[in-house]
Amino acid sequence: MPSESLNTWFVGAATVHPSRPALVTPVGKEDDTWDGLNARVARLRGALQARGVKPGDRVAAWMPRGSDEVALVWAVWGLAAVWVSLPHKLTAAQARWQANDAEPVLMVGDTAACTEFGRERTGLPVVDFAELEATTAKPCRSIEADPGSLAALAYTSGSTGWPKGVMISHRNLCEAAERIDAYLRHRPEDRLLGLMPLSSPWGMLQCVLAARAGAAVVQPPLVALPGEMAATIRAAGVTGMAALPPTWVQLSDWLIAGEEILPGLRYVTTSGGLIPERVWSQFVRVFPRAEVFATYGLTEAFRTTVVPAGWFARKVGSIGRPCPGVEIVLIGEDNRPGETGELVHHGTCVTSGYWRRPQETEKAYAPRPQHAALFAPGERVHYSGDMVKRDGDGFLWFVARRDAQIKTGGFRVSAEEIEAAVLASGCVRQAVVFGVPHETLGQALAAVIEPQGEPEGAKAELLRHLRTALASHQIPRHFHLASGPWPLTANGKVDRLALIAAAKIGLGIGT
Amino acid sequence: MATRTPSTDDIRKFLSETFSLPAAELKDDSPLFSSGRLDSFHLIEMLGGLETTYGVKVSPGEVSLENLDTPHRMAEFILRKTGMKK
Repeated sequence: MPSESLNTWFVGAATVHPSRPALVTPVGKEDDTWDGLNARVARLRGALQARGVKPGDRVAAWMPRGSDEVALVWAVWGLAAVWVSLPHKLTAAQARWQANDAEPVLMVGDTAACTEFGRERTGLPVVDFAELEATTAKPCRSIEADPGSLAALAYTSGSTGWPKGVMISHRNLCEAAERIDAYLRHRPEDRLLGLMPLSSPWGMLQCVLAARAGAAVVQPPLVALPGEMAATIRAAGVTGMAALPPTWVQLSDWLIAGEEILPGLRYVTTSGGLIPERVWSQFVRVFPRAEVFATYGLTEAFRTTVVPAGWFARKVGSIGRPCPGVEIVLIGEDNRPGETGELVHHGTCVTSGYWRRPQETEKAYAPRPQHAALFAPGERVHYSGDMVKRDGDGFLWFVARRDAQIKTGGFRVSAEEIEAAVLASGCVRQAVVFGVPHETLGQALAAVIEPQGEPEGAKAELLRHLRTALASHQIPRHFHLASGPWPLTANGKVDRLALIAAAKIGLGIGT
Repeated sequence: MATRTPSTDDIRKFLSETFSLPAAELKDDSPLFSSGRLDSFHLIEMLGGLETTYGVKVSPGEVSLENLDTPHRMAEFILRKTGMKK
């Protein structure tokens, strides 16, 4: 058995800390201890194996965040199978699309998801989690996965095209867990709020970090309001919390308004976008005992930088320094490495590519010809599309996006994907989707549309369609109606920049 | 800026349209957040919608289940905010 792997950490927690809490769920239900969770996961492994799950098989899950999902991911990893969690906020059609792309041997859902999936007629075997757990199959021994083999697929949107499954290996997760714990330093007494979804590397890492330390994961509140979040943190004694900027803004503002603090938090950590200066400055009041760790990462190369302990106050707004072992280069417009340029990850911190998408993998994961000399032959490389600068202390600062990718509330949104959905409604002749500044979300989505037929009616019908086709964060907040003909550029394409500029004026939004 | 004074029915219609919830399923006391039906993204959308449609700016301390969790509570909250409640 290898000395460090997801499996050895999980078994280690049950061996060294059997009576410590592993999963903390709301009032009225007993905590799962590590010993209890180990037994529960062994039975789930048996149930999955009885349904034909073998090493390398994908198991898809469409479940609400919570302890059930955590137990399931450990069962999947314990069979050396591949975890594919579909975010709960996806529409049934989107979930079906991603599920078909991953080609799982089994889909596990809660009761509501199973009903929805039944309607979608995917042809994939679907099982209710409760039914899975009730299966009387023999508990099955865990299977050690090869470190280079797949642990998970994490679907993400780029600036163009459809969501792609990033292939995450066991080694990717283990190395990330080690570099994160170098600064978070979890102990068995820690209680992590399990807020980040298991569809993202970050959510998976919360489970891994807890196992590695023998710490507990606390189920987040069902209610997405800051008051409930604060109440859960207090009641469950949460010591460490990772969340995206909108959550931090809402929680921090709520605490300030109520003159409350959360002294039990010993660390708070964030990534995924920018927090307004006025909110950062509140942290020292509302989280008085917490070390603040701002980080950066992408699904393709995750949790790679950090503002180390003690540096936050001096580097407010920075995305930090590369963690030890992480290789990052900033490539300038002159194609040379320097102190300003596009942030490019290379080496082992980079994942291995997009699931069954060789062309897109070739495009995103290989050095551009003019940069070949900067990298070792065959080295994995990933271009972030983020323009970044480095200061005299080696700290990195975000400057701008290189392309049209929009980031709203921490989610990447592909303008092209949204435009396709808008056109598919049949209510609109042409559409251009773009981002506008938003204090809480970072950016909000806006769209210029040429309506088909009566404008207000077309817009209303369009919104009805979008709400069935897209997740909440993908639906434009602002619509500017622009009748044709639309301006064209010299090569006959729609002049996006001119339309966006006109739309911003029409909507009364600044640049 | 709109200064309508909404009835609970108005709020049900606003919610039904904003979040594509079938109006028939949305009762005066249907739990919105406490049921997990609306998530944190919906919350941001809702706060924006309340400002645009009713001219009500919800302050951070007012974001609570008491004020926002059902159409009835939301209507009462808006009436209090706009000073229209007798």
